[in-house]
Amino acid sequence: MLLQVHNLNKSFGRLAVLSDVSFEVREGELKSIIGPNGAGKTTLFNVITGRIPLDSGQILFRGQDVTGAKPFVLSRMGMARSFQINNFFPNLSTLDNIQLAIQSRLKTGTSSWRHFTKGDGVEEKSLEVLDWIGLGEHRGELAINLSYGDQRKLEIGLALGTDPSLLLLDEPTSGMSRYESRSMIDLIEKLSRRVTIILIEHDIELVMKVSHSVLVVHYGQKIAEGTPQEIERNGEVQRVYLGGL
Amino acid sequence: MVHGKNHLLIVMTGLALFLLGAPALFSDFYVDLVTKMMIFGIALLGYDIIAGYTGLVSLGHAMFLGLGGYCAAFTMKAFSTNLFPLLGVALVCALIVGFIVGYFSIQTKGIFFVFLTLAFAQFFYLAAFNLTTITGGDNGITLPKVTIGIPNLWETVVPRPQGFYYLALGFLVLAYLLCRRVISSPFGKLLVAIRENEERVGFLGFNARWLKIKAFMISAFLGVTAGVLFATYQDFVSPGMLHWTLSGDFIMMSILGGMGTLVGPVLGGAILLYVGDLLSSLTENWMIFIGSFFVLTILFAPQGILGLLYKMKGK
Amino acid sequence: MEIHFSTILTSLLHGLILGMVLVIVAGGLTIIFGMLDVLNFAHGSLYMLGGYLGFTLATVTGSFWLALILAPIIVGFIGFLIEFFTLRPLYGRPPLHHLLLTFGISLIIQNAIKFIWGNDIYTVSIPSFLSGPTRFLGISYPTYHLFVLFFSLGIAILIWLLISKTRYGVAVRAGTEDIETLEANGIDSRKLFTAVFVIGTALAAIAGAAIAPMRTVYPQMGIDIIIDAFIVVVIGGLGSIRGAVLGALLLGQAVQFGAVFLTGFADAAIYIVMAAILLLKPSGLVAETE
Repeated sequence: MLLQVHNLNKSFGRLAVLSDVSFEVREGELKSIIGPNGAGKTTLFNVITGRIPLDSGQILFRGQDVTGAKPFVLSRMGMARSFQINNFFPNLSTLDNIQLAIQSRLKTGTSSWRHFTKGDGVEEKSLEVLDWIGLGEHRGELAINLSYGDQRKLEIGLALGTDPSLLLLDEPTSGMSRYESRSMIDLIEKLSRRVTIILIEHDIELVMKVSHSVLVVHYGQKIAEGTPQEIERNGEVQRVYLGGL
Repeated sequence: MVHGKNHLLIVMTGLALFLLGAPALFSDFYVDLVTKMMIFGIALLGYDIIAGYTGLVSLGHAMFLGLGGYCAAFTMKAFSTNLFPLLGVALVCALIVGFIVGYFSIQTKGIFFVFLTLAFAQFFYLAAFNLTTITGGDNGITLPKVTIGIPNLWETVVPRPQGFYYLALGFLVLAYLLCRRVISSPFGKLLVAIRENEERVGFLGFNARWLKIKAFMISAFLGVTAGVLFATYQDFVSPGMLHWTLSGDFIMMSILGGMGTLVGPVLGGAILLYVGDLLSSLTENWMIFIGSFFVLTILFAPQGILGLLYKMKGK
Repeated sequence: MEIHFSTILTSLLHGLILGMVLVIVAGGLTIIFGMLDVLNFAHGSLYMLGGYLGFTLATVTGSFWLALILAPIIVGFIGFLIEFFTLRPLYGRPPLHHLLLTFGISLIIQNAIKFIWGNDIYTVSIPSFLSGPTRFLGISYPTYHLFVLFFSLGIAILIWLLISKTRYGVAVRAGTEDIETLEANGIDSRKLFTAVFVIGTALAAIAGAAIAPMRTVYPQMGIDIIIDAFIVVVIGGLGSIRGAVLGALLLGQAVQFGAVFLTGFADAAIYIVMAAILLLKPSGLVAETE
């Protein structure tokens, strides 16, 4: 088990955003989390990655209790995350953006004296990631000048560049056109063969196509979990969310 | 582009020769002014690291100058007038104070950071002002002449103004080279990243808090160095060196020259000191012009002089 | 030093007056911040301008009351010029730019005052019926001080009525959160911004003019008050009017208490409090009831 999440609870004031959420993610799995807007999906990510504190519950990553750990600690352990709203470095070039991610895995990544050498291969590794996500030809462009679709790719690229063992993707196709989404779907499929993924998505077609398992959240509670087929057939899920798929 | 590179080389060589030969060519008055410019430049380099590159604009940088100055004064009274022990003590103080102030300050951002650094600086100012038995209060402390060399072997009082001029020049060049190295290092890139999006830096696996503290401490080192040089140059230190209006001056100089460029703030400092000196001999109210000029800069050229130059080059 | 009731009462009153003046100055500052997201560094110099203008107007017209009315009007107009020509172009830029801009403006105003009035300290004369002491509760207290107290109180109440009872006041309290909602309700946000700035600066000026006879007008006035006002605004919470009131009254008492019983380090203690608030509860002491 790569990730184990037990009885997560989180409230904002009197509003319970997460109620007793538990699930597990196996290595190599692609688990999707779906549910209506406001169901608490992003909050779930925020809590797991340490962006906001839990009220109660436990998170185990690689068997270690990481409840309440800060984001940078989790990143070092191999958990990476992309954001629903773009959260990159707008005035740096695409290449520079990815280089920061690559840099994070190097021993000299924070050195103020020793510069990178050719041996470190920083630029190569960055270009490799860029090519992989299909942004190679935009390497010199400022991130803020990229098309929205490309920006969403960069968003994932930043997470990918940290060479994670667990990748949390928060609505990667959010705001994308049908055409742009296709590209993203292919990318995610490619990714799922390399790294364990937890995916938040609204695009049901995408979810059903790539997921090994699906978890349904509603009003902060887990209401169903299973294979895509099981979820499709689940009456309650249909009623609440899928609306006759 | 070859022409461009040649141009730059010629300018740099010319500048270097000019700076090296200046004391022989110009009057003591100008040598004194340029020495001050260079000492300020060291402080401004430190400020650019924390404010220009990391994006943490503090209103407390003067506290490090004052710290350097008072450390020098106390060390001189205690055991030595030699510059290197003075610097040594001051840098250790910078380490401690820089860490403590930095540790707390960087937990805030933006306006809150401005206020917090102001509060720290004012605290030091009040301490210097009120602890009259230790610091001499508003009257300050007069320092004996500083010396350089190796005690018991070869030691001499720093000759003025030429001696101090070359000393300041040497330190400025050293400081600049150090800063360049730091800025182009992996750490330096992270500072810019923090300015752009601190949260994501954390999510990439970096301890942003520690990086910010380190940047703050670097700015402290440079500020304190400038403080030691300034106090030993003036043979005097007073609470004025800690006052927030001096911090305000640093901000103005940095913005004028162009923040986040290293060269910009040094240039801005030199210009403001020169213009200030020029204007103050013409009218008592020269600050009005400086203030107006600053307002215009913020309105129309917030990237400073260097920013304008880059823009023009771009065209 | 013996502590009599009269000493305490006098001290309390001093602190209260200091506090009330700070309420008006810091109140204006915090409203401007809450509404425009601008930290007006020039606030102190405008307070100072109010004081110097008050002095000159009183001397020229011979009427203290006329000066008290005209000074804030003139300064308010200057505030309008500042907002219109220098702040408006900057809306949308990072808040630091506003801070720096107003810092530059404070330099201009401060030195312009020095240019016009010189480095002298001036005493403002007060109407004779306000001079001299008033006796009550066993103490003899300067009448003019009491006037300042009630005058400040009156202004504070006026502002409070304006804020809580009028449509525009509600808009100001809503702050910059929702420009769209304001416009949907038929309020021109740009005009409102200007109005808020003008009123804020006029308030600073009236405080300066009113307190002038008590403290004299002197070149350091602006610098002294701006730091105090900042401290109040931070402690009370940026944008919180109630916080500014609370902070100002607290600070007034603290400064007075410190001046009488401690010395020097009372100032330092205030900075420690400010630092603590910034670190532990940056939203200020008063919890905003949104």
